[in-house]
Amino acid sequence: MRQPTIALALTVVLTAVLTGCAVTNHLERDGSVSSQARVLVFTDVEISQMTASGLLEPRAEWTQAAEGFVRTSVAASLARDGHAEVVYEEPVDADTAYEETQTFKLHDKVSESILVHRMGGGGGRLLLPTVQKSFDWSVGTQAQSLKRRLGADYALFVYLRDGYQSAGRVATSLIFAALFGAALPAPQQTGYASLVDLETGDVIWFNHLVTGANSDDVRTSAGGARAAQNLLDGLPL
Amino acid sequence: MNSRSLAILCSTFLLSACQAYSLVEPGSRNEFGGFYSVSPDIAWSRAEQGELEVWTVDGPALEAVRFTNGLEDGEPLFDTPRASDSQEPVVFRAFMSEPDIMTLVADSLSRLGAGQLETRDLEPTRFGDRAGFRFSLSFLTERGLAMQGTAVGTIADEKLFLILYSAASSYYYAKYEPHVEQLIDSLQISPEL
Repeated sequence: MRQPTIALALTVVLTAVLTGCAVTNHLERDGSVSSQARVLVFTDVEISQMTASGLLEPRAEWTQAAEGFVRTSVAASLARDGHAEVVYEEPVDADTAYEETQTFKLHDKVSESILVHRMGGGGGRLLLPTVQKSFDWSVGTQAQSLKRRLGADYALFVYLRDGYQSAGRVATSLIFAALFGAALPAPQQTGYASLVDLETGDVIWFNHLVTGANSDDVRTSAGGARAAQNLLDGLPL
Repeated sequence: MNSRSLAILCSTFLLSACQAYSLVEPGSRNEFGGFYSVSPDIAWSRAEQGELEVWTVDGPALEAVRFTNGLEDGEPLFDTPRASDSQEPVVFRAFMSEPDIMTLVADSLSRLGAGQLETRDLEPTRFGDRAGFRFSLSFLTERGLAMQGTAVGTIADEKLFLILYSAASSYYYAKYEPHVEQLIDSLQISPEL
């Protein structure tokens, strides 16, 4: 079971990298979801510039623009399907703030675990035999705090990373290609989206996005919308 | 949410093991260091992690049981790559008392970036048919996720044998605690010893 899974994961990623197409791979928990749901939306976007030496330096203005485009597109997509977006407001009470922060931090770790140990991120070397036949991750019922306080049914987490080469990097790549006949690595668009049921805390849907270097420019309205659509591909709401 | 990278890092404790995982079947008997063995009631995924063996179900960042194979005098509990040249290495010493072992675990975790570390409830217990000790711990990971833990161990032939369970305080610790207690209950000292 293990080798075909790793091979498939690598094939998917390589296809995306070589063609520049968006490849998504989603997992879903059995069960039904609500119609006309109230959905808390969290976006985490970071857009970087790759320097001539290959370092990725986050660019605030690009990040702000891309996050705005992604957020607008996600909200429009939810509204089109009859759902209402709920905006997160920081709690006043310190205990509640701690509890909700712990839910978010746990969700980060759960997401990393799904990517690495279930979906084969990082080359598939760390797949766990115990989770290959099921999809059973959760952040637990402490997520109900968000439901009670904000009246939301679900939390939708959208995470996106992308980058663009500096002029110096492009020049370095051209020289490298002329000398050695191969291109230097270019930034890749990657991300995930995750839907959490705020009654149970269960992750009920998770989508992984990998796109090659020639992906749409998320610094533009159209590119940001395309990235958001790819991230929401297969969303069960 | 904090800014994070999707890059996969192979750190020693808080993130992951770097070896491929294999399946531990429920009911199987699994030996450590030729000294003790345990038999699980659920399936676990296992991997080597330096001198330790790590077992997890959903991922070591969420929950993990770590087994030492018999730590010898002068050996560290975990690899601590961040230790600068000026820092004394945190290592096991054969003369250590049980409170010293508790401090060893705390200091070792601290070197790996854990914060607000607390150890408590040190008490005698059985380690198979040998006299042992157990204690509880709690800490925050580098990114601030609250974790809880339980350690059970003994010192035999000047070696430290330790079973360390750690998991996210929210949801995961309670989810797997009964299965870890079952592991501890199943512990047997190897017959030839």
